[in-house]
Amino acid sequence: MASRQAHDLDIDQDLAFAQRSWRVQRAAWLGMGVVLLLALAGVLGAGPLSRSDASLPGFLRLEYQRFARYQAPQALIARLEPAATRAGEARLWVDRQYLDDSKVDTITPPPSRVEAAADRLVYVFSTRRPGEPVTIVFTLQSERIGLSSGRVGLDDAEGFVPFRQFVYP
Amino acid sequence: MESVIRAAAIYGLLLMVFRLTGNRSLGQITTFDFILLLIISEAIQNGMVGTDHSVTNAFVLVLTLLTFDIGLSLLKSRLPALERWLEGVPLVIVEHGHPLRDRMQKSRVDVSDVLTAARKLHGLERLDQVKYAVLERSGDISIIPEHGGSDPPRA
Repeated sequence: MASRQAHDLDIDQDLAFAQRSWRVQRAAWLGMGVVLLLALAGVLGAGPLSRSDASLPGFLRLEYQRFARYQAPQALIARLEPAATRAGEARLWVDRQYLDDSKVDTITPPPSRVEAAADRLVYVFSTRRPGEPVTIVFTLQSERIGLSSGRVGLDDAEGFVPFRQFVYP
Repeated sequence: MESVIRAAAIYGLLLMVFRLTGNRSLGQITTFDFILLLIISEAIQNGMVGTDHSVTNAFVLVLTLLTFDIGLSLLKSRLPALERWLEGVPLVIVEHGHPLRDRMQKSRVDVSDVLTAARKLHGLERLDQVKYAVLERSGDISIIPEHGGSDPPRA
């Protein structure tokens, strides 16, 4: 390193400080690279590390995003097993708390009707043939930042699928 | 309420990122740097404005950004240490025609940048006509020319 030389320049040069700030800068570049890799991996939103699923064996498998972003579209996919439909209907419920924190944009297929209960909404889907698996896709947006948890279940089956996701601002 | 938080978050984030990427990034601005700036502003805009396109929201955002800027400049004049961290310190990179390589490399400036500044500012032809080149806090390079005879080179 060049030594401090006496010169006739009136300047508040501070080599020790400059050295320190270069070190901080290098570390920050590394940090930026790490953040970029995390974003690619899906830790900051959709991506491989964000994809997650939970299931109610024999009835329902739920695919959701572990990490979501505020007011950004995300998908909640419910795959219903044949045992989940009864008399040409599949009755899937989502807990009210989760729906209050989200805005549902579309449901594919659209439910034939929705029944409201105190703590949940029951979506009723018509199925063409009994004994066929059915996939239902909710596209929704999170309207609340932070950790949120939801429950999805079937009216005709005991138990439910709990899931948790973190919503980035 | 939300717009103030959004604007404050964006202000802080940009301040940090631009300081950490170094002075040089936007000091000698090239055409591409300028395009990059436009794209960055475009990328930031949606995050800051959100879904609220009202005039009130725009007004609150602008007010927040300006207030933070004034606040920060007041704070900087009170706390010299903060000013250093936020703005950096000037650095001599050429002394009596000799480039200080290590410093130049660390601050991502090369001899051709110094020569460009020397030509532009003083119409100098060679590096040995440069008495001092200083990388200023703004990222600009300022040149003090060697006056023939009046101050002979030491090295």
